[in-house]
Amino acid sequence: LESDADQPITIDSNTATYDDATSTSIYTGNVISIQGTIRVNSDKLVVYFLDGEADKLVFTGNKAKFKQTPSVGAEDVTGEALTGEYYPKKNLLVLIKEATVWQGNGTYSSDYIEYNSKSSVVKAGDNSTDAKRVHVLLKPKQKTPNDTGLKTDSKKNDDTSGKTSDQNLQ
Amino acid sequence: CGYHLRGAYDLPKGMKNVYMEGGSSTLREQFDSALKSSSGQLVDSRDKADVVLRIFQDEIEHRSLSLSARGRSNEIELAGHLEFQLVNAKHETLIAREPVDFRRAYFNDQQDVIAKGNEETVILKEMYQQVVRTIISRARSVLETQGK
Amino acid sequence: NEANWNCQQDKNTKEWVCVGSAGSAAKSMPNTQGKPDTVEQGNLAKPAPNVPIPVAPPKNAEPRAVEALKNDQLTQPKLDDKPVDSVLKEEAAENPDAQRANPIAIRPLNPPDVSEAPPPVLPASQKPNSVTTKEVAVLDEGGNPRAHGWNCDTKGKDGNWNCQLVGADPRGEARVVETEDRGFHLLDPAFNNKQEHIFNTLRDRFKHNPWGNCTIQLGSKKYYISDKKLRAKANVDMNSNAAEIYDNEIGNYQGRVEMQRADQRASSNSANYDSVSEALDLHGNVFYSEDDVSLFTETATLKLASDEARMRDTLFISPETPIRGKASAVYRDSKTLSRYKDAAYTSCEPGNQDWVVHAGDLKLNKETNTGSAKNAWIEFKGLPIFYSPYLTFPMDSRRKSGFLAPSFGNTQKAGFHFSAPFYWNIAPDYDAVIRPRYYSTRGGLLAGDFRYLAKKSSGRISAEYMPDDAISQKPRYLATIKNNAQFTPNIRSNLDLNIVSDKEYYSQLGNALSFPVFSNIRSFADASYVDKGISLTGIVENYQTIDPILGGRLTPYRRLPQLNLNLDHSFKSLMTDVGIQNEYVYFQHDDSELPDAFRFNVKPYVSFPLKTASVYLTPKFSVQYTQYVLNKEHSEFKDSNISRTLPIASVDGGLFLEKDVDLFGNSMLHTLEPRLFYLYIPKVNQDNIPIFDTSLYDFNYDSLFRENRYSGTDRIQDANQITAALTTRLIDSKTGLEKLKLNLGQIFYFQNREVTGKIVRAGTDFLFNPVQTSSTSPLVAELSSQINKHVGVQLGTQWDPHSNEFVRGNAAIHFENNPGELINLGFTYRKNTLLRDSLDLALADNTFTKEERDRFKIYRDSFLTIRSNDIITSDISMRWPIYDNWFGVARWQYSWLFNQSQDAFVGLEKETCCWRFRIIGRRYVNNLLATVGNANNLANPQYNSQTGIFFQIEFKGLTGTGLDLGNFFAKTIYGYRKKGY
Repeated sequence: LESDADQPITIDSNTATYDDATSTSIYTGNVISIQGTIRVNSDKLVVYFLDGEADKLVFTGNKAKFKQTPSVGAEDVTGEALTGEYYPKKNLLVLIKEATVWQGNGTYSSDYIEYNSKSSVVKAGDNSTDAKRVHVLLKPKQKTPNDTGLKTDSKKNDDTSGKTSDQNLQ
Repeated sequence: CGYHLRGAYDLPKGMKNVYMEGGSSTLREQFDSALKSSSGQLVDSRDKADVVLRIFQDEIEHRSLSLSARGRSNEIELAGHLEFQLVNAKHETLIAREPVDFRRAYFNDQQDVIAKGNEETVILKEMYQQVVRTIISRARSVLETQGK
Repeated sequence: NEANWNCQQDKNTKEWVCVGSAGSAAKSMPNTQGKPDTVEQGNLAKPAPNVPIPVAPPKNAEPRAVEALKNDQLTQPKLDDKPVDSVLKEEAAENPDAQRANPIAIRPLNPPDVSEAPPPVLPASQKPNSVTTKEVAVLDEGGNPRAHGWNCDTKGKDGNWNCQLVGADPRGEARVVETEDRGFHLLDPAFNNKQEHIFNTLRDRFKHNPWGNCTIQLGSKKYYISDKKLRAKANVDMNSNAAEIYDNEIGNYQGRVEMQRADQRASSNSANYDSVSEALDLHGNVFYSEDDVSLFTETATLKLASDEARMRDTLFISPETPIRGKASAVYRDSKTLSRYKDAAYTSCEPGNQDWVVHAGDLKLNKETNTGSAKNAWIEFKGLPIFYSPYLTFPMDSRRKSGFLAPSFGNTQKAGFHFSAPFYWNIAPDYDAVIRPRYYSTRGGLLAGDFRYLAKKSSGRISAEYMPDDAISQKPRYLATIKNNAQFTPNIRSNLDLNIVSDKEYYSQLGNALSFPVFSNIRSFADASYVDKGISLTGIVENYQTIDPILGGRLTPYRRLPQLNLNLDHSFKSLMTDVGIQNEYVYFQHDDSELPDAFRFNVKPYVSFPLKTASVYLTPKFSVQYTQYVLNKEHSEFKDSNISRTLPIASVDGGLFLEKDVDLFGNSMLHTLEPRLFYLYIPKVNQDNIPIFDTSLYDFNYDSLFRENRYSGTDRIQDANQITAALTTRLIDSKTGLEKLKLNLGQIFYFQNREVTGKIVRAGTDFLFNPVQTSSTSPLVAELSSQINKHVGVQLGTQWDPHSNEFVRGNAAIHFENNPGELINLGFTYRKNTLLRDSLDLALADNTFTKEERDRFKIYRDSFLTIRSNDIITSDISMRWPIYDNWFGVARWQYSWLFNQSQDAFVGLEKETCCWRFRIIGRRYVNNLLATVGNANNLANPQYNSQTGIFFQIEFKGLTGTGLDLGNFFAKTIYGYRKKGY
């Protein structure tokens, strides 16, 4: 939601250390960070503070996962990557290395994906090189009349933690 | 002088009941009588047959070999071409599709039309007799080598 | 680097051709195939098959410029792969070859095949060679299309070559890199080199190479039907360097974009896709392909949901025909209608632009399956040869109504003639061709063929009608009705009725190619029931004589009807065969001098075939009873009720000796098959029996073993003779194939053959053939040998000890190098003394009037009459490659007796995948010379011959024009076989 950016960020993990010199705090072990409807699971989290405010959060994990509800009643957007960088002020989440984002019936995977949590715009790849190729998979919209947006949503929520069937298509 | 009697008029073992597909009625007639004369027979359904003989493109081409003084053809060549394939009951190909060409010329100055028509019928019968003989001899060499 | 390319300029096309020498090329182009292909994220377009695609109804279809048309002979349904009863074909071959322009592809009406047809087996040669290569993106980093084949650069990670294969591996085949000067060319080539490369890439995007086996097989399996149902349910799979997706609906993709949905595959520099409205815009070197079309364009906007599309500067391949071409703009209006602006297309494979059709605008309508082009002109080998403001053509091989290829020509008899046939596909099982023709010196003529196929029968009705012939001032017509029916496996009937308005119809209005060398047109209707041991046939038959000099008594009898009932049965245990042949005929003739008569003939026989594996002896006894009832008293034949009874006895025996022998290194089987045939028939005077259907057999090896030297029933020879014959063969023991066969035979007569009949014609008179008194028949020797796969020889001769001279001789050599490369040499010698002996007999017979004998004297002294049945002709025919797939075709039939050519033509023929061209110049005898009957100019025979030029050009997949020379060659050159299509 747009209001996510104003929500407080709560983080819980096995261990947490704070380094005043570099004004960074490091959390390791099953780290879960939540801000509004955004929720991120990762193995390690490093938060960089800039004059007292969380400026950049860097998640790493063997596939760190993230989830957000873009707007009320809309389908959740989920994603995963080896490392992710979240800039709360810029509402920008950058997923790097084996990154994949699921949004509605689309699946976007590349080595570099930018997801704007405010405008829910996804930018992927880099046009100057073909090292970071983007692979987008759009499933056909269900044409059956009794289809409602909610039905697919509910399916999406319960298995966010498990890998949805599309991923093994890669 | 080294020549010995050997069976050529008998049918090879695996060729007593033959089912024939395609081919002109004259060829069919000659095959029937050739089989009958050496204790074989043409059967009318595939499953009763030891071998299935498929005939393709059984055609006779009439060609004028020479013109008489009146500018009308007086020597007609009957050039026959057919292709045959021999398959056993289990659909294995014994002889892949191969051609048989046969031809004979005969004098026909187109005046005694009915008489020459009778003659052509007789000639066709005799030509097809030789074709049947060739096919059976081919089949014999294949079936016998296969038998060994 | 060490890879060396040697390039040289090709002398005739002036193009530089670079060939990597095999050795170094392999070294310098490390085969990347082997390297484990590191799966970078999506750089390889995923080949469609291995993506699991749920089945769904099709949503849209791309523009389909499908156009197929094949020329096949309307009259002769060619059913190569299905064994078919050749009665259907046999009578089709005999009837006069009426004017046949090349009708549009006619799917052969499948005749009712009552006998159980074998499963249709696709012969090995036509198995589709599916091209399986790992596909490399067709656009290189810079976004321009990669050239077809190997593309190498040195940007490889470990410093050596980084080579990528695009499309099928050319396996070292040289490819034209670039050419500068093109020498003189009236028109620029329709497709420049860059476009030809793109066509290669487009071709390789199909699973099966449309030009795979080059032949357009009628009814071949359809590889190119795209299954649209899959698309609606299939995922859209996009790969690109970069992507931006707004609100999960509008996607903008940059950098080597590859899109795939079910069978739709596209690649371009950039694309944007609106998943809601399913609109796809592609820009920059766009390759778009489906199962049944493949396109390259600069910009394309496609509405995937409603099958609409607009494309600029498009190159397209439609594989069904196959057809390839370009258009400045393509508009797809619906699933079935597409319009092309400034289109140019051909059916030749990429790299070959022998013919190209240019059209202002082209409309292809899949609904009516017709294509229509406005102001279209055809360019052949760089020369514009045909223009038409409006041109319609069927779009695939299914039968479509439409104009067939126009044909035109010029003959001395009828001046310039032009015909524009129209094919009308009335219903699935019957169709018609309407063939209006115009002759400059004679006027208009309407011709038509109607063809039908019912459940148990098929047939054809043809008619030609010229209301008023300007030269002869009377109507001319020709009509043919044919029908073949197979009611049950045993009952069959045929009908073949022909009538023509006058005797000169064929020589004046007929197809100039197949001038009639026959004298009579046969019309008959027959029905037959054939089963085990019984055969009943009935026939009604009439001949119309079209030989101007044969009339009155010289025309044949009508058989109204003739019934034959033959029964036979063999008792295996008693080793006896019995049978009876019954015949009932009513002969009718218009000439009052000739009697009409019923003839009833019964011939029971019994034979005892004694057989072991290698010896056979077959005595046979039969009695022939024949009864004639003439319609009235007759000057020549007093009693109107004649009967004749004759016993016939024959013994046929032979044995089979063989010996293994080694010839030129391969083991052969040499056989000796001596045979004796004794025949005894007592003499009965048959002079009181008129001649209806009898004349002398032509004497050859087979006639040595016939029971009668006359064909027909009106004369049964008296005989007491024995035939001694020997057949020896060389058989390859491995394959059983006969390498050589020699037949020798002679008849030894123990008495004269005194039964004769008025069967010899001299002018309008009928003479008795003389009694034969010689003690032996001519010695017959016939040799035939297939020396090897290429050379076949046939020799034959007959030496008559009685007159101590050769009476027959023929030699024929058939040489076939590669298939279709033929040379035939033939010589025929025949000396027939029958007429001379009959005339001598008649001159010595004073029962003839003086006036008749004077006439016989003239015939006897006329060189022409006496030698009219003799033959000394040589016949050479060939089809031999000359240069670059051009074949020379020639035939020369020369009569050494009359020192003149009887038929001679020479011509050129070229056959490629996409066009066929034939042209011949022919000099042929087209009508009569000094008639036999008119005595004065018998001295120097002068054939009245005529020369003509005939040509045929055919663009496979579009249309063709000119007469069908293929059939003509098959009739004149032994061994020439028309290709399947």
